[in-house]
Parts: sequence; structure tokens; C-alpha cells
Amino acid sequence: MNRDFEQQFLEIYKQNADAIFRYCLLRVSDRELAKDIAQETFTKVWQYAQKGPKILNLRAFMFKTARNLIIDQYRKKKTASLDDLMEQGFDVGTEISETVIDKIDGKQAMAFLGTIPEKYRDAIYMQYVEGLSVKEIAEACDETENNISVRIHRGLQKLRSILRDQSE
Amino acid sequence: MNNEQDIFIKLAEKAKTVKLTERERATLFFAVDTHVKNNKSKWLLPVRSPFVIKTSIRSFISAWHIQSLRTAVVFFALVILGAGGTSLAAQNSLPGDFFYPFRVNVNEEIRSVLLSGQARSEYEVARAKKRVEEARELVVQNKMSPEIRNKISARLNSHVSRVQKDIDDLTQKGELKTAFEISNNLEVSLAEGETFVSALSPDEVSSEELASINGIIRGPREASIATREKTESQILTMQVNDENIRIIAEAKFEAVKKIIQSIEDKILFGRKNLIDAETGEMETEAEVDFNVKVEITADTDTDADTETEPEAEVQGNLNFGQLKSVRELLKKGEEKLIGAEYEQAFVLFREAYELALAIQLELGLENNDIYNELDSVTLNLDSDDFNLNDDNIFEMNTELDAGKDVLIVP
Repeated sequence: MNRDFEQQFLEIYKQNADAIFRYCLLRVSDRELAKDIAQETFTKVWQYAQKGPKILNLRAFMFKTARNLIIDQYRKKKTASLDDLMEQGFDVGTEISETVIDKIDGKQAMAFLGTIPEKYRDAIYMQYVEGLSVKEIAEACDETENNISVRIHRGLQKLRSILRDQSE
Repeated sequence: MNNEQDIFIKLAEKAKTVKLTERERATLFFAVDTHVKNNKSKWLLPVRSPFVIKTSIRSFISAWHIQSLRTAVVFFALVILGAGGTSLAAQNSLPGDFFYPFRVNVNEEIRSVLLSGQARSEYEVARAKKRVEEARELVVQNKMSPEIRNKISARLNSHVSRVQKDIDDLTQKGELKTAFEISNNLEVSLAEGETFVSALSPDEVSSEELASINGIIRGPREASIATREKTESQILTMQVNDENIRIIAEAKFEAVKKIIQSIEDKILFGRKNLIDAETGEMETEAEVDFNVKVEITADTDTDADTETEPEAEVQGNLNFGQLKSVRELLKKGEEKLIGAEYEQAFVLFREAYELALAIQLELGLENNDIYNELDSVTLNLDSDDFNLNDDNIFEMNTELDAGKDVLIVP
């Protein structure tokens, strides 16, 4: 049984490694740092699984652990600005259209998502990029489901306004 | 769906293309896997799949009970059999002794069952080596019989087979480092056992008996070499990344160091006096540059007109220069390791490993040669060049030149 759980955990790791890494990268904008946090996330989850109560939703728990690690230790990252994006070659003077989106790469897309105000960013990112449910996001962010729904709604409004401003 | 939403959805899809590279994924997996292996709770209760929200209380209880029941059965079996005292009595028993079957089939088997993972594999390796030592002891005590020999052989093969299966399973699961460590350990342990046997002197065992024990060891030893080579080959042809190569290079490095330590132990054990002729102190291998060929010849010149000084040299054939070569290979390999040239480091360590194993075996065989040769030597006891000490061992008093001869007397 021990071996089964170990195998399950490693399988879950394989399925979620990219997602956790990506989330960490969104938040810290540093690839090496993101990898370090991702690794620490999985080792912490394993430690907790050994000692703590049963984890009902491992995926949400992984995001929660990553989020807490980022908040605790790596809060020094400055919020990405559109100026930063321009330095990366993302021409925000141009109307942001589907055509433009087609031409950017994943890294630039992540950078753009990083411009979403922090209080909305996690909820929107987790739902639209990583496909977590509202319930899972609530668990990951230690919030009520209602709050998460509100944040997603307001975050999308904010995003629309950013896109609209850039196209004017 | 409005245009802005389309844009956002596309943005999300683009973001999702950001992933770990294959190399990063392998490195990260290895780090997590190593952590998992090293941080397992031994008595972890059965845990349901994390995706199962509703737990079947009945099945959970029965799973818990099975584990408890197994432990209880083992405990009571030991109590009922009076295993406390019996176990102790069995500990030093040899094949043919009354308690030996209990030791091997109960004590050792229970322990093997209660262990898991790498610990279990390493325990089976230790059991294999123990069988070799038992065979040696039986021969020394003149208690070996064809029937006992066959039983020892069967048990030895059984232990080795279990370890080989574990190694195969681990390799299949991608636990390369563990598989590699165990395969190295198996080979080194059996090589040590072989050396231990080969170190028997002609006084202790006849050449026929020696050949008989070597026959028990040869098959498993060759199998262990084949297993190690196969594991290495699998690792090197699997998804290759720097992290994997670094890990097996370091494991090889450790394996060579173990063999060197074993050789040095044998040297000090078999050679009571490795004496600095000047200080009379035990010399470490590092201080001595060996390539010994020293002869004892008795000077029988009886010409009265000449004063002849007796010359004394001990004949031996100890190629400690080869051990120096091993150390040099290790040093070069270490430099490559530090320089992150892991493949080259591994190649150097592998060369050192094979040379060290060969020396280890040769050392065991050479002991016999030395005894034979020294037996036939006549010494001129009047020589001022050497003294006979209390242990009937000759110490050379002449000053030694660095890098030249050293007197080694068993």
C-alpha cells in the first residue's frame, strides 16, 4: 500500500509538474526561481501527505502550497508593467487583436497575464489557463467560492478594459 | 462570444504552451523522486487515493487490520517458537548446524519480509555475501560436504536472483539511481566474498576445496557483473540527461572508494607489518610508492678471503602501483565531475572500478603465492640489515629511498 501511494504521488506529480511550474513562473517571472518553488511545492506536499490529514483535492492543495510559498518567500517580484512587455518586444501600441495574439509566444502571453492586478490574477489564471474549478480555486486561495467568483468577474472586466485601452 | 473574450481565451491557450523542457522535467522529477524515497514514513497507514472523496470505512478498516494482523502473526510466531533465545543461538550457526535452518528460513526471511524497497535489496545482497563467508568457514573447519555445498549454492543463487529482480523492477520504474547503487553493491559484495575466499592459505584449504568454493561463487559473481553492466547500459541508453549521468558517475565513484577501502583493509589485515624502515611505524598507502619486487637470497659465499655482506630482500609480487593507477583515475574523474563533464567522469570511474576489482581479486590470490615463496627462502640471520622481532617478522633497517623498495613481510 505504501508503494501504491508513492507511485500515485509520483504520477500526480508528472501530470501537474508543468502546471505548477507555469503558475510559479507567472508569479515570480524567473524561470530558475519558478523551478525551485515548484520542486519545493512537491516536496512539501509529500511531507504533508505523510503526516497530515487526508488531502481531498490534491491538485488544489498543490496550487495552494505553491501560492503560499510564493507569498511567504518571494514577494519581492515587482508587478510586470506594459513597459516591461514592450522591452520584451510586445508592441502594446498596436491594437491588440486576435492577429496580434496569434503572433506572440507563450512567454509573452504569460507576461501579459502577469499584468492583471494581483487580486484578480490568481483566480483568472487558475481558471482559464489551468482549468481549475471555482471550488478548487477557493481552496487554493483560502477564499470562499463566492469571493472567487466575484474576483473572476471583476478581473475579466479589468482585463477587458486593459485590452480596450490599448486598442484606442 | 465577444472579441475580447476570444482574445483572452487565445492568450490563455498560448500561456499553456509554456512548459518545462524535457531536461528540466527529468531533473525536477529526479529531485522529487529522491525526496520521496528518502522521506518515507515506515509505518504509513494505508492511504486512499486522493481523488476518492468518499472513503469506504469498511475497506479502510480491513486494510489497516491486514497490516496489523501481519505484524501480530510474526510477533506471536516468534514468541511461540521461543524465538528470543533460539534466534540468538541461531545467529552464529553454520550450514549443517541444528539452528541454521531456523536462522536462514525464519530469522532472515522475516527480516527480509519486513523490509521494503532498497533496504530489502541491500539486505539480500548482505545475505548473499554471508553465504559465501559461511562456505569459507565450513571449509576452514573441514565441515564442507557435497550436500551442504549444493544447499549453499542454491541459497546464494536465490538471494542474487531476488536482487536482480528488484534491480529490473527499479529500472523499469525509472528509479535509475537506486537500481545502479544496488547493482554496484551486489557486484562489490560478491567480489569481496571471492577475495575473502581466495585469501585462504594452503594451510587452511587444499586447492581442490578452494576450487570447490570458487565454483559456488563464480556463477553468482558473473551474474552480478552482467547485471551491473546491463543496468549501466540501460541507464546510459535511456533518456540521457546531465542529472542522470552525474548521479551514476557519483555512485561509481563511491563504489570505487569502497573497493579501495576494502583492499587497504585486506593489506593491513594480511600484512601485519607495513613498516617504515626508518621510523618503524606503520606506513599508509599514500606515503609509499609501491612497485615491489624484493627478493630474499641467502648468501652462501664461503670464500674466506672476502667479507661478504648478506643481502636480504623479500620476494613478493605486490602491484600496489596498480592501486596508485586507480587513485589517479579517480582523481581525473573527480576533476571531470567538478567540471560537470559527467560522461567523461563516469568513463574514468568505470575504468578505475574494473581495475580496483581486479586488484582486489589478485590480492587474494597473491597472498597464497607469497606464502609459498617465502616458505622456500633461507635467510641469513646474521645480517645487520634486518632484525627478527618478537613476532618472527623481519624488519628492514636500511634507509629506503623514496619511490623504491619497501619490505613487506606477512
